[in-house]
Amino acid sequence: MRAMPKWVRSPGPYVALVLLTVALVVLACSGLQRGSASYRTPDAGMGAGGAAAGGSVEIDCGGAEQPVTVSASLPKTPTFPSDQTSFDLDALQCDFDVFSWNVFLALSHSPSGAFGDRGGDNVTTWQVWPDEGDIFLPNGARPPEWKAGDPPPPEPVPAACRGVGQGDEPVLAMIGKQPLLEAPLEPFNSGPLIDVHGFYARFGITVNQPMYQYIWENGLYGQAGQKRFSDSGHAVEFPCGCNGDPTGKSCPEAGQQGAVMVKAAWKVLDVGAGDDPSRFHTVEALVYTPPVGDDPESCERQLVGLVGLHIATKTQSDPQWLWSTFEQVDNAPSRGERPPTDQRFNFFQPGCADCNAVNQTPPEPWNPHDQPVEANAGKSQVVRQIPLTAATKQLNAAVQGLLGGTVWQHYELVSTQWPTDASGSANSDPNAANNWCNALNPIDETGAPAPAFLANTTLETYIQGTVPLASSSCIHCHQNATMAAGQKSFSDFTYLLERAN
Amino acid sequence: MSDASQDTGQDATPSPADGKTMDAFVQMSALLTGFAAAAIAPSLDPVDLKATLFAAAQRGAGAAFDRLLAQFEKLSGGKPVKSMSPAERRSIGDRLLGLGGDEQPAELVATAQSVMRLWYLGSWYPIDGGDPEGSVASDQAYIRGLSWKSMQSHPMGYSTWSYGYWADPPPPLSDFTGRSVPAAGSGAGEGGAS
Repeated sequence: MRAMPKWVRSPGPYVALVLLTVALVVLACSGLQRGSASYRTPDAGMGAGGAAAGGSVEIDCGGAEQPVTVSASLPKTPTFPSDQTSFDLDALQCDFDVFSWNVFLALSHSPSGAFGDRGGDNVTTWQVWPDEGDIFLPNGARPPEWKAGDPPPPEPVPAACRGVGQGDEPVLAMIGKQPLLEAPLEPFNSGPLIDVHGFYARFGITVNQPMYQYIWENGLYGQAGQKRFSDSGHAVEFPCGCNGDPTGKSCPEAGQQGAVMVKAAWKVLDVGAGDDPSRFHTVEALVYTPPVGDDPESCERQLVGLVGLHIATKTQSDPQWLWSTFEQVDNAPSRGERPPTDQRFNFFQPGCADCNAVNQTPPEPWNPHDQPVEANAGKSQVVRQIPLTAATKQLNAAVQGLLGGTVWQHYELVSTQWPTDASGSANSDPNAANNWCNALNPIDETGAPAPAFLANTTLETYIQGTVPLASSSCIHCHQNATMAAGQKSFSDFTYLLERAN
Repeated sequence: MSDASQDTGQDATPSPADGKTMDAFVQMSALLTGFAAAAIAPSLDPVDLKATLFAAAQRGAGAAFDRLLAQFEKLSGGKPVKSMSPAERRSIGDRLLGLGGDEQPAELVATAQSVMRLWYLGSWYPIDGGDPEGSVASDQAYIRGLSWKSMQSHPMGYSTWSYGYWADPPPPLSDFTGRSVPAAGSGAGEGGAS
């Protein structure tokens, strides 16, 4: 047990945190016009081609205004304004949700800072980060180094995909690296997500440079390295984001970007069947499918649209990470809603008499080589079990108002899961050795997450609900994550390290 | 089924207590259980367990529960448990549980005992002694029962510790109770953040 100062997610510490962050908030807000839905000139950092949108909107969180800004600047931590008067669950949820939107908008810029420069769409920063297939190579081979400030290493292309595209497409490579069909399935092998046109959704996980570098430096890309790491008494502790300490005692003077991992869900866009690409962030991707039964591996160049996005960000005060989840707005209705029969969804057909039961996995056999699935009973029929809160809907509407003319206006925050009591009675001592992280709460390492349950209809489709352990809770699920090797194998809330060979 | 409106059943929503009544319930519960109020009802509680347990007690004991709360408020004079001396806590606790010199109606004794069981076990046990197995107040009430914390452990099949935790000793009891462990024979523990 580490001995560290008490940090309880309660008004007291937040006031202290406010004092520490006031200067940063003031700096961050300088140049912004205050007021509802205020705008500013798109900053010069945006890339050639121009940004279709740029500006900020002030959100009232606990009596204080919090800016959501269309900016490529990735926040390292949430902020808590000095004039915030309420620190109850709702007010703090608002603070974290604002953080989520700011992270989403920053990562939705291109690496060069462009936003909406391709007909309202753009390449995103997280898309060019390495994915799991780039990190966990066959036989535990060492991937290339990715130094801070350098572009990400080039992505290896599966043999089946070589020559299929034009050479610049990303590979949806979460599939094919593991045994049969694992990657197209959802958590706990709960089945594939199949859209209303009968196509299997695809998933991918990417990580930012600090997270990649930590894996690389510590040899965690292979099982042998993981065992060495563990046997030498080390515990996995990815870098925590912090905003800089002039004394250098609690954070590097210049601050530190913490580990970020992104999990994306994509659907094949069937324009002929009515999918509207202007409502999606799209990419021409090489979609690889592993061998299934008698069907050999295959790779197709397909237009896919983003339908779901998890962003997990590790910060000093949130060593359980912050879990932000977004969806394309047309995914599914919420429980209790009666959508008109002509309303189009990605994963729900209103008034469908022969559809699969709501939120039940499509019947087996599952074979993405046989698609599109023709029978409605073979597709997913998805309903959001926990509707968005009124406050989140209001926040979403305010931010979406900034994003007109871009595809990003068609995305919404579902919620942010955060630890309400991150460190409990632990005496936290963030320093270079522990990657500037506070300690986990010794009696509840999940930190009592709020909301207690959170699911993305595209990523946890079949485990939505409010049953402890059985229903989706980002932190609680990922707290069970381990490495593929080693005795002390807790992997710091990521399942990625299990994929090491 | 294909209609999004299917299965729209709502969980029974307990009538919410006002702030003062809820505070009295939390303080009384802290006194009866020996845990700090902040440990059993943290200011930020995503599952709002105290509201679930309050509703269970209200449903189960009705007027007796209201009378018990009123009695506690009178005895405590609104003083938080953490500000009470061990003697004060002992005196009020004995009175509520019928262990003091003053006579306490049997149904209030039974209600106080059921409230203690409710926090520790997550189940409501009827004050008339019926249903000796009790009824689980909610899944959260079960997994957050104080019995697990008293054991410095967790419910079977539900742990908030990471893989391999069993190789290390658990955190000290005071981390769970929010109170320092009392010295032998001293009665209730001192301090703690209630």
